[in-house]
Order: sequence, then structure tokens, then C-alpha cells
Amino acid sequence: MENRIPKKRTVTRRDFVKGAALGTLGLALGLGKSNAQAQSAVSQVVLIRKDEAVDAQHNVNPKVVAEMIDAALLAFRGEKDVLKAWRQFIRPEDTVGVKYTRCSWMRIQTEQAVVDAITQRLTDVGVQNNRIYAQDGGLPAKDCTVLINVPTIKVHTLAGLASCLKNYINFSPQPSAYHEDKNDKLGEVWHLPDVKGKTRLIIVDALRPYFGPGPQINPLHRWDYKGIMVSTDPVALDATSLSICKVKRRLFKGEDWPITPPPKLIAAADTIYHLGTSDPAKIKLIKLGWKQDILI
Amino acid sequence: MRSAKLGCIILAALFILEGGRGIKEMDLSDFLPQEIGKWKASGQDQTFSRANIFDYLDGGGEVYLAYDFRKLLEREYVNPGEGPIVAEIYDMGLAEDAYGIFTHDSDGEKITIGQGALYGAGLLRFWKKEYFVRVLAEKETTESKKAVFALGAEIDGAINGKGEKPRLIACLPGEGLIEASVRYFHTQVSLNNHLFLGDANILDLNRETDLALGRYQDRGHKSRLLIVMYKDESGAGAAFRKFRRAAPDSARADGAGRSAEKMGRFIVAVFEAPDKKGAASLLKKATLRIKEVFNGK
Repeated sequence: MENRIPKKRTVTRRDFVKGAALGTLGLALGLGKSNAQAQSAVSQVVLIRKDEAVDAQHNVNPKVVAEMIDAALLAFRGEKDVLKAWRQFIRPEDTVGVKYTRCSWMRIQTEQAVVDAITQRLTDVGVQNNRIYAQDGGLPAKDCTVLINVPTIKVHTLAGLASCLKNYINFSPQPSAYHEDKNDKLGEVWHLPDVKGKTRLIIVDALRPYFGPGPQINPLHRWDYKGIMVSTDPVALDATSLSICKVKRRLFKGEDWPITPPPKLIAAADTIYHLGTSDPAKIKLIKLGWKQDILI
Repeated sequence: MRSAKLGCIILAALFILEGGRGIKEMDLSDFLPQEIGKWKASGQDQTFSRANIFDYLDGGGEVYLAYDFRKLLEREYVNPGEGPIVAEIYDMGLAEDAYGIFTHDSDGEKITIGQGALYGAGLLRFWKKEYFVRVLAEKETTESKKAVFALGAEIDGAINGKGEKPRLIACLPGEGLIEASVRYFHTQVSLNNHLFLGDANILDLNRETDLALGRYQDRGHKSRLLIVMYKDESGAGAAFRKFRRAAPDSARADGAGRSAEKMGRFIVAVFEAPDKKGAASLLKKATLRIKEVFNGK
């Protein structure tokens, strides 16, 4: 794979004209090319939590999850109407890839309730069912005009953290090229021709994250955080998830439990691949709902 | 008489070819029952080798390949009304490596199964001989926990004999050692999981190096002791020179709270000690233990 180091983009007149021609503000601001917030000084992340989202037996409540996603999106766009908020990201004529996480051996997967709530809203804004690809491996990014990234949160044995940035690893023809000490190059995948600039929205399933060393699941290292995060900045989301996992690990062990190897992919996605901001001081975190044990 | 002699030679040859692991290659499915309580085996068993482990552990197989992993068998058990139970048996090639992969994650309650076992929230892990076993109930209930333990006990019973822990582990001095912190491994991938010294392989680690890592309680501090055993003294010498040259912040030898020494084919290093004196003291204890265990060789 070509080891490209893209230059930091700024919104050009050509971008604006192209975006305007396509009829979306997001595209005009660069959403169609990169991530809108990657260009701005402050990235916004909405974190919503509801105690009722997951019960004591770890069952997810789909109705509550759907409400959480709606509420998070309204807060993110400063809207009062859910479909209006969705239409800021999706047009009826779009072909949408909902890229979720299905890691069967790890058994930590994007909850079906999250995927269903998203695809329902895509249908509500007029996207035809045959233009919605909700899948993990094999998602035809080339055919999609829009990608919605829907990862889980996992501390990862080889990459440090597997969430927004790493969820696109299987868009690469050679995913193993990003394992071990090469995880800092994962930002490259976001610049592949079939992927670049298509991610208009990211909805992170933070209902039951994983903070353990892996590689396989140890259920002791999974907890019901009962959260959903929304943003357009994958780096800000990963930086936020990392902070939460660090605190959870410290609480679990009663002392610092460093994440090793360190998730270099987050800083590299910011400084080398310019996909967003990793600096917590430049992340505006809007917290909604249940505050107990929020860890951030 | 002559044919008996020939038979002995063939048996000996087979034994050598099997790497001393026994004349008959064990079929991992021999260790697993068809049912356990109300759970019945479902679908086809899945088996994986070094060549295709990524078909099963995509993005995680490296941790097993860092050991002498040979093959894996996975069987799922189902019970309507309860979640599935998944059993995985890993043939790690060597008892030392079965022990090593078992130490990768030490969280859980100690259980008496195999030669060392841990349980927590539906997951039972244990090692015995050259096998590492994981039994996971997707949903932990009173019934599924019983079944997980029963399945673990059956597998334990089906594996005849015992293996030895790595000799190197005995070089970790006992005083102050936090037992759950002990790790045994070979390569950089594993080192990075347990003690990150940097991306570069500054200790020249490979499948032939053996490492023991432990944490020590020392006056409210927790120090780390790392012992690396090389194939020969020249390998240790070259690695020690590289280690000293690289000297990332966390690996500077002979700084406050850190100390490192090469002794024969061993490198011994202490990190995060409360002070230089504490580091030197732990280093000395470790070198004495190495002399006792390996007679200085």
C-alpha cells in the first residue's frame, strides 16, 4: 500500500461549489471529502447514557437505544426535529454503508439495536432499502455515497484501541499490514479512494465496552457503560473512548493499568492523516442523560 | 529379536518426529464430550492451525503465534433457553507455552482444575500439559456456570499427565513477588502487551528467547523484574549492547529505579523500583536465583 501522508486540507472554493452543487451543507464544508470537524478548531462529541439501556442481565433495550441515538443527534446538530437532523447528513438518493463491528470470535459486536435504529432512520429519511448496506466485512464502500461508522469500543491487544479508526481496517485489501507496531498507519485506510470523504456520521456503540488485554474476551473486562456517542470526528471519538477506558482500567485494578501497546493510531490520525483532533482540550464533549460512573 | 529391535527404532524415531510429545498425535476432539448437562454439541467442530489461525482470531492470532501454538479446536454447545457454551482447546506444543499463554491474562478467581485455572463471569481458563483451554458461557447463569465447571473437569480428566512450568519462572525471587503478575513469553508482541519499552525490538527477542516478568511489592511501590534468557551468551551480549544504546525513557539502565545487567546468557532488568537501591537489591536477588536454578549456565 502506498504510504501517503496527506496534507492538511482546508476548505477551498472548489470544495464549496462542489458541495453546494450536491446540495448539502456538510459536503460544502468538507464532509464529502473528509470530516467537517477535522477542519475546525474544536470537535464536538455528544455522549448520551441511559441506565435503562442495558438491564442487569446485560440485555439491551432497543427502544431506549433508538431514543438515545435520536437525542444525541438532535443535540449534535442543535435541532429539534429528528428527521431534519438526519437530513443534514443523508439524502434520500444516497447509497449508505452502515459499517458496524461483528467480531464473532471476540464476541464484542455492535448491538443489533443500534444498527436497527440507524437503518430505520435511513428509511425514514427516504433511503430505499436496496441502497442501505448494513454490514461489517465485505461492505461495498465503492458503491456507497455515504458511510456511517458504527463501531464498538475495545481495548485491543495489538492496536491499543479498536473503535472508530480501526473499524475501517477491513476496507483495506491487506488488514494485517496495520497490526502490531504498524497500527499508527491505520489512518491511511480512511484515505483509500473508495472510503475517503464518505464518512458523514459516526455513532459509537458504547453500551458494553471492553477494557481488558484480550485477545479474546474475558467477561470480567466488559462493563455496561450504557452509552452512545455521536460525532463526525473519528479521532475525537477515539480519544474520548480511550480516556473512558483508561479510567475504567484504573478503577478495575486499583492502580494505573497502562494500555500497551499504546494506541498510537489516534495521535497519528490527527497529526499525520488529519482525520480529526486527538487533543482533549479541543474536544467539546456534550454529556446527556445518566451521569453515574461516567468516567469522563 | 531383530524385529523387536526394529520396532524400538521405529518407535524412537516416531517419538523424535513428534518432538517428544508422544507417539500418537492427540486428536483434540478426544478431550471433549458430546454433551455436558443439558448442553449438547452443535454444528461442526472448527479446527485451526498456525497456517489459518487468523480465520478464527482475525486480529488476535499473533498472540498465539508468539508461542509454539500448533492447533486449536472449537466446539459449541447449545441448550435451548440458555446461551451457548464454547469450548476451545489450544495445543500449544509445549507445556511451558501452555503455561505462558495462560499467564497472558491473570484476572479471575483461582480454581482447582488442570495445572492452574481461573474463572470469572462465565469464562474458565486453565492449562494442563501442552494444552490451554478456554470454556466460555455466553450468558453466565447458575446452570451455565455449573456446566462450564463440569466441562472443564471433563477436559482436565481427559488430558493424561502433567507438564512442567518453565524453569525460568523459578528465577523470579519469591520475596515480594505478586503471584498474579507473573508472565512467561518469548517475543516482542507479548512484551508489548505486558511492559511497553518501545516499538523497536531493543532486546532482540524472537521465538527462541524466553522471558519471565514479575511485579514486586517494595515499600508501597511496585517494581518490575524482567529476565530474558538467550540461546547463548553472544546473543545476550549483542542484545544487551542494543538495549543500552536504545535506552528509551522507560528502559534506561542504571537510572533511578532502574537497573540492568547481563549475566552469561541472561539479561536481568528492573524497572519502576522506588529508588536505585531498591532496583539494585532486586537485581541481585534475581541473579542469585538464576545461579541457583541454572548453575550459572
